Amino acid sequence: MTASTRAELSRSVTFLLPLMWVLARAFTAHACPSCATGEQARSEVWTDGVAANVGIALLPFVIIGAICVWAEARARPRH
Amino acid sequence: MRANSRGAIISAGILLGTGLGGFVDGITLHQILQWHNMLSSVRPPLDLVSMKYNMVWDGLFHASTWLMVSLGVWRLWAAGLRGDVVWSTRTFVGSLFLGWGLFNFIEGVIDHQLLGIHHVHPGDHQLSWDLGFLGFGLLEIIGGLALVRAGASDVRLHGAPAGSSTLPRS
Repeated sequence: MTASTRAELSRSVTFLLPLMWVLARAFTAHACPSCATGEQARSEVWTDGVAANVGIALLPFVIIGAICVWAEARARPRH
Repeated sequence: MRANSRGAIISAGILLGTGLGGFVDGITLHQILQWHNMLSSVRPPLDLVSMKYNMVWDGLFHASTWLMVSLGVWRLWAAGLRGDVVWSTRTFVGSLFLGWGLFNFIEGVIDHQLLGIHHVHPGDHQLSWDLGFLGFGLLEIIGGLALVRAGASDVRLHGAPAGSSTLPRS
């Protein structure tokens, strides 16, 4: 291996290593749907009173929906 | 048929006001300012798992507000197809404020006061922030109702030129 080839190789490695590090980080971030943290969070959502939490989250919207049905029925034209 | 059908306009306005008001809450208070999340008083988002846990419930909240907006667009479209709907700006804008106010008040009473799953701005003066949120909702309800009531005297049908009064007041 000539000196110039070694220099070229060294420059390539110097360039490629940071690039590979950035890509690896990006790939890890992209893979977070299946990373341990994400899996743990989603698992706790399902095991931590999911039905009650869904009910709580939706209750205000259900009440307002009922008010709308009532408002529309109340203001319906009489034939 | 009497042209006094304001129900579709009112329910469209309430649904759209609820959805858009919910987006204001979710985008501003949950995401940009990060004052609270859906279950942040039950599961404070102090680590990544808890943050992601709250993110799921914030997602359900935003899905619900999106659904309300979609239903509102549907009711508005249905109102536009009818010939007997009074196309009143005051009624519609009042209903938008009524929907936003109803959302703030009902969500505030249930989530902040009764269940305490989150508070507007947790920490010192938490109750003041929560009561301010309720008060803002009440003001919107009162203002919205006043506009809806004022709109009852509007008589312009959909498609009639602005300023025209095509029907006798009923």
